[in-house]
Amino acid sequence: MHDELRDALRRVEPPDGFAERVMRKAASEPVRPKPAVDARRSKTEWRGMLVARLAIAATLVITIGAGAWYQAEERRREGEEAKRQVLVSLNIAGSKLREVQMRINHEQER
Amino acid sequence: MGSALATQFDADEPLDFESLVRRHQAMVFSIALHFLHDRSAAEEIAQDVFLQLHRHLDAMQSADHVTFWLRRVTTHRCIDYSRRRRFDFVWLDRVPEPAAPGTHTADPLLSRRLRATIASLPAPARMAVVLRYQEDLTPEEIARVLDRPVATVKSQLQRALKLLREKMVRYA
Repeated sequence: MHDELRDALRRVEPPDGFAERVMRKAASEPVRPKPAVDARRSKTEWRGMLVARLAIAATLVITIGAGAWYQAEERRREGEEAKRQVLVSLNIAGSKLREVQMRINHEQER
Repeated sequence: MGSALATQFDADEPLDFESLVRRHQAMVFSIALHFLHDRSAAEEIAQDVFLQLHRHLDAMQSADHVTFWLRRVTTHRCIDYSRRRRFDFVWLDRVPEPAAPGTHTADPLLSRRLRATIASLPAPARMAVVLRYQEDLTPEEIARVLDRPVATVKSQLQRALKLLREKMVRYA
């Protein structure tokens, strides 16, 4: 069986002119210029690139987060200031009212 | 490109692309032909494989590397091609005749019948049989070419042989 299989599956030459056709096609293929730097990067380079990208991403996240926090804090501070001013105004108005009331009372008692 | 290869290959090896094509054309064409049983598809695949070799010639490190690379690329291309082909009928009268019928002693009818029976095997087992009996590779070498575990290749070969025996007995 093994010998029969070897006989049935022995190598066959391709049709005449096969090599010439391959050579013609190979010659007509455009020659691609080699990249200056080898595209295949080593594992260390890939790891370095990954770390650099992660660092850039982390910096961006921290910067954007800090900016958002600063804006929120600024708004809160402005609100506090406005509230304080309103309270001061109300205080002043209250004391004026009390003073007027006291004068009226005083006049009536006379 | 040939000069770059010249420094990597042995001094007595043919170095240029044309020599590689002429040396390996029968191997590449026969793997495709015995697997696909279609001369025009086999020629097309063989041409594509050599053009791919032409593009990757700088990456070849030795003559053995070229042989291994060609076997690997050819087998994978053939398997891909047979997956894409929807109907995989093989007619006995389309099974290719050997190139030089006078160089063998076996019964040509029997050989033809055997090739047709091989054509009826499932694709993975068929490729293992082609590499085992055309290229005379060991199961370990076939496993490396096909990227399969050695145990898988061994069981595929055993099952293929059993099937072939049964079919040939029925034929006889």
